[in-house]
Parts: sequence; structure tokens; C-alpha cells
Amino acid sequence: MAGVGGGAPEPRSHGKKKRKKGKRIGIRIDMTPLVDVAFLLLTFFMLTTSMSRPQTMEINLPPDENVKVEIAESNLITLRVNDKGEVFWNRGMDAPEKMEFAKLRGFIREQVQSNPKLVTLVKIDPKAKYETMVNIMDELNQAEMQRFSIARMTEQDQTLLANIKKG
Amino acid sequence: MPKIKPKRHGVLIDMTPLVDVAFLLLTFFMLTTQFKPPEEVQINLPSSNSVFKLPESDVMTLSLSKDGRIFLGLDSQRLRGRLFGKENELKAGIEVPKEKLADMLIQARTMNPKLRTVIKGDRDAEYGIAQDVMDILQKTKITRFNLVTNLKKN
Repeated sequence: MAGVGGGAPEPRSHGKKKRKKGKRIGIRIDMTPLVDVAFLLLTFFMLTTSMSRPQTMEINLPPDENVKVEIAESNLITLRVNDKGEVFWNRGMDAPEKMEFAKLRGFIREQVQSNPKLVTLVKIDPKAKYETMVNIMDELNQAEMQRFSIARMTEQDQTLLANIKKG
Repeated sequence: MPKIKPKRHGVLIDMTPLVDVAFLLLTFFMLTTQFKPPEEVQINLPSSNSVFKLPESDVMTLSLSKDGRIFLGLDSQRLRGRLFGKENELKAGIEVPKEKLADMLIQARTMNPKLRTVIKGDRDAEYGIAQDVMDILQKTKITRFNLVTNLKKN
């Protein structure tokens, strides 16, 4: 054995095969600017991305507006909302009574449980806020009131509500 | 006077894993980002407890602004170009008078029957406009639509 390297005992070499090792040149690239730019872009995209999609509330309208549905008076609850967002309720043809908005959910839930056939008719003053409608519909959904319809508020309704306020 | 200089140790940190992770996140955010065209009007959404998510594509948005104007918006740029004309292609939506809304809705629906209608009303908008828009929707046989809301924080 005349090799220079082979002569010395190498504890780490496995077997007797000798390999020619290419000389390794350690190349060090300074990656700092790269990382800087990468993080800059990263923060930019992280801040501009909006992850959450907005929530929606689904509404199904009856396909034909001319279809009349007959409902027993006792199964109908009418909710009227005036232009100030105050809620009035009545059953059938009774006189409307004022109700606190906070009590609406519990009230509707009770009514639905005692009478599953109940239908709610919602009439909102055109001058009321859009938020009011969303709130009312949200409360009805929360109270598991599946069947409700929205009707236009007539002048008759408006005078009815105005009279309650005076009385 | 000779100062005793402290010996400097060159500290080299291997930044490769850091860069790997940074680039991974970077590509992720770059691919998921969608740039929205600027909104025509600022709309403050009302909040509700509803948990339905807005569909991601094929959305037709009807925005009702605080001062009672109606804006029709579509999410696909191609469709916007065909419906609103080339010059309005990059706008998120255009203002539509109430009388023309029904025609526009029918045109949009014939171009893409998969469109889902979404109403995005300002919380301080008058209910009357929403009512009119819903009547128009019913007349154009769009009987299923969604109202965009924020999630209510309890």
C-alpha cells in the first residue's frame, strides 16, 4: 500500500474502497437583502389580504306575487315597524301593541312553540332604516321562525301606528 | 495607550430555513390575494347572526348607498366589460337608475345564468329603496338572493 492517504488509518472510512473527493469550496452568499425583500413583500401581502368573506342572509321570495295564501287569523302575527324603528305587534285583527326590540326574539320563539303553523307578516315603514329590516329578519331567524313574509306598508297601517302613539 | 480590543467572533447564522418559510408564506399570500377594484361608494354593513358565507364567484352585487342610490356590480371583469361598456370595465359597479335596473338584471342574467344576486345595503339606507329593489328582483324572477351582513359580535 503505497498511497499517501491510504497509509494513514482512517477511523471514519467504511470498507476498503477509496473515493476521490472533489475539493469543496464553501460558497457563502449573503442572503440578507433577499430576505429583506422577501419579508417586505410578505408583510405587504399579509396586510392587504382580507381573509374573511362577509356573512350573508338568504331570502327566498315567492315566485309569483299574485298568489294569495289564505291564513287563519289566529295563525297570523303582524309586526309593524314605524319610521323610528319601533316595533308593534298584533295577532290577527287585534289592535297593535308596542314591543321592545330586545323582547322580540323570546316572544316569537314562544309563539312558534305554542303554534307551529304561525306565520309572521312584517310591514316596515319605507322611511325606516335598512338596518331595521335586517335586524328584524335576523331576530326571526334566531327565533326559528321559518315562515315570514314582507309586505308593503299601506297608509292605513301608518295611520294605525300614528294613532297608537297618540293614545 | 494601547487598547485591548475584544476579539470579534464572526457569527454566521444559516438563514436558509428562514428564507424558505418566508418565501413559502410569500407565495401563499401572493396567490390568494385578489385585488378588488375600488368601491364606488362606502357602505357600512349592518350586522346579523347569520353564518352563511358569501359565494366566491358569479356574484352580482346590488349596493344601496346611504343617500339612496343603487349600484350594480359584477365580480367578473369580462362580464362588466360586456354589460357596462369597455370604459367602465375596471369599475366595481356603476350607478343604475331604478327604472333601468330590471333591464340590466335581465341582461346580466342572460349573459351568465349562474349569477347569484346579493344585496349590499348601507345600514342607514332607507328601507323604501330596499323594498323597491326587492320588488324589482321579484318581477325579474330572481326570488332567491342574499343580504350581505357583518357578523354580530355578542
